[in-house]
Amino acid sequence: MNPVMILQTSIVTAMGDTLSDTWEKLCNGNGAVAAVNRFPVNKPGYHQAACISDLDTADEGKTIWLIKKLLPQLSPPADDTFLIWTGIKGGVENIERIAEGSFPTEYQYAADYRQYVRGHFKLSPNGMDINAACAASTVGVCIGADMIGRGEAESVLVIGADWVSRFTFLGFGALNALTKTACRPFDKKRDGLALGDGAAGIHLVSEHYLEKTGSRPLAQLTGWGISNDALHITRPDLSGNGLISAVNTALTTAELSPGDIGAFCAHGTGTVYNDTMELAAVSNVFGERKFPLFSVKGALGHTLGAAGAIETAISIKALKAGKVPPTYNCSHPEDAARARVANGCQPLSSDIIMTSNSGFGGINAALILKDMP
Amino acid sequence: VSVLVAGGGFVLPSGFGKIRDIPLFNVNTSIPALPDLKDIAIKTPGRWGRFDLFTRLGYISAAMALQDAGYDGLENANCGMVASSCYETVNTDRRFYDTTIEAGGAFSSPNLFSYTLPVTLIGECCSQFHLKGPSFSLGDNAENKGLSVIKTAVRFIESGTADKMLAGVVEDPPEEVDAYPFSIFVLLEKGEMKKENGKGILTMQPDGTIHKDGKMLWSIGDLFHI
Repeated sequence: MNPVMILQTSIVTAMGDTLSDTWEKLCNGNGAVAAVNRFPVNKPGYHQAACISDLDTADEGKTIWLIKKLLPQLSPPADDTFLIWTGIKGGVENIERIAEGSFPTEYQYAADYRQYVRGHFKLSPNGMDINAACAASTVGVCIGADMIGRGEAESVLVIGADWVSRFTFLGFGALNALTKTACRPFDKKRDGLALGDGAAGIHLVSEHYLEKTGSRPLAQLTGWGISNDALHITRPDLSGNGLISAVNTALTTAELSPGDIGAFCAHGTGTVYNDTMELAAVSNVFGERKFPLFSVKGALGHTLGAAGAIETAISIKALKAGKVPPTYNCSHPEDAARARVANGCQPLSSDIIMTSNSGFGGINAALILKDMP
Repeated sequence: VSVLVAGGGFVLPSGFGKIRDIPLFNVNTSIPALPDLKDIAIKTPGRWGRFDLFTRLGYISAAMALQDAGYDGLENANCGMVASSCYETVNTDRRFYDTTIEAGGAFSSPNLFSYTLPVTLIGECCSQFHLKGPSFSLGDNAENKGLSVIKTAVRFIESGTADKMLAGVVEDPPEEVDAYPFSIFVLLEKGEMKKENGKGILTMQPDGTIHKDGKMLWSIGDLFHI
């Protein structure tokens, strides 16, 4: 298997237009979740999300607006770069626009957004779209890593963007998944997730690509794994068995043991079920070991198909900074989260970080990142 | 590593069947006639009544592919699933959004929302057939003719990530598109060719093309007699 390197990352979140902006605010203990003004929310009983206010007036389409903010942050990749698009629900904007009696955008399906990004960078390969629900961009990074590892590609760009639509807001609300108070990952009083606007790009390359371009990588992607709970379409397996399988596959690929992992960037949605499942998986794999575990969703909201890529970028930033950001709103951690989750920054215990995401359909995916100083 | 085509199932407007079947003639050529699950010896999943057309189409073909390969379920096998679609769940998306219009969204349907992602099909199949390997959905271009999922599945088996993969295409196009609903799935597995089943060996070429028994595949339908 060829080594897989991460050359560049970029993110746009409700906390900032760049990774540096978001990182600084995260570490300062800020959060972007607030009352939703994008559409009326007086009836449903839940009312919070992390929205980018400028997005509300994006005539050309909200997903395209996010992409246009994101792409200039990336240096153009080689034209034989394989593109993987991981946004999962951008197309519902047209359903909403038609229902409101306004003109639809010219973008309806995932392939339309992929073709836009392809055109922007003038990429030759057709690329692919991956929909793995809330684990989509993590799965996208896994597939890209597999392609580079097997020598099928020298360069893979994973791009995802999703935003708080009335469609997803009411849908998650109907499932009783949205918080009615505040999104509190791993807190005993947690009562649901908050959605968020966001976009991210992760550029994976081979060593040969680095040599050809004279570039230096940010990190090495040493391990990755994908699994399925095989239990339910929306509810996670509370035993954590599915996530345990993905994490163990990633550790095996990386030829590492759990003790090598310096911190864990969890999916941490703030729902009762997800966080219970993740803590069960962490306890199973890492035993009683106390090491930094964190979630950024209390501050940034859940950005669906962009979440995994945003968290990958933040994890790489954490490797560079030697610390992980606070878990916003977690003031009374669950027992299994005690001495792991903190509401302040925590130092990394090694130069290796693991990140994972789980989604509807029972999908789990995990990545292991090693700093490249 | 040899990648064996172990079985396949399809539902088309012209009929349904397995790899060696000739589809039954169906007078209505725009809407597939879904078989009664009992008639084809497929266990009815608990949420069948809630399944949308997308999920029903995919589930039947996936179940027939497993049946064709001689499997009831894959409890202890490292089997994953990958499905592709151009139009994903757009029809169910629209039906869900219709439920949000009245009363400020107070009556939004949780049942419909659960089926507004193509991975819901994956979740239904993985829970019913006990598939615990890598699984996700691909968006696809019509010109790929289902080969993206075959390549992805072959890649997983060749790398040892999975021993078996269910791979297929499901389409439930919106009314404004001149296309018909259908589904087609194959079960691929690591292993040597057995004379008695003879459904073919797949190989991925260095140029990225997929060959079955030495002949290049142009579409997933080339694995069937359709």
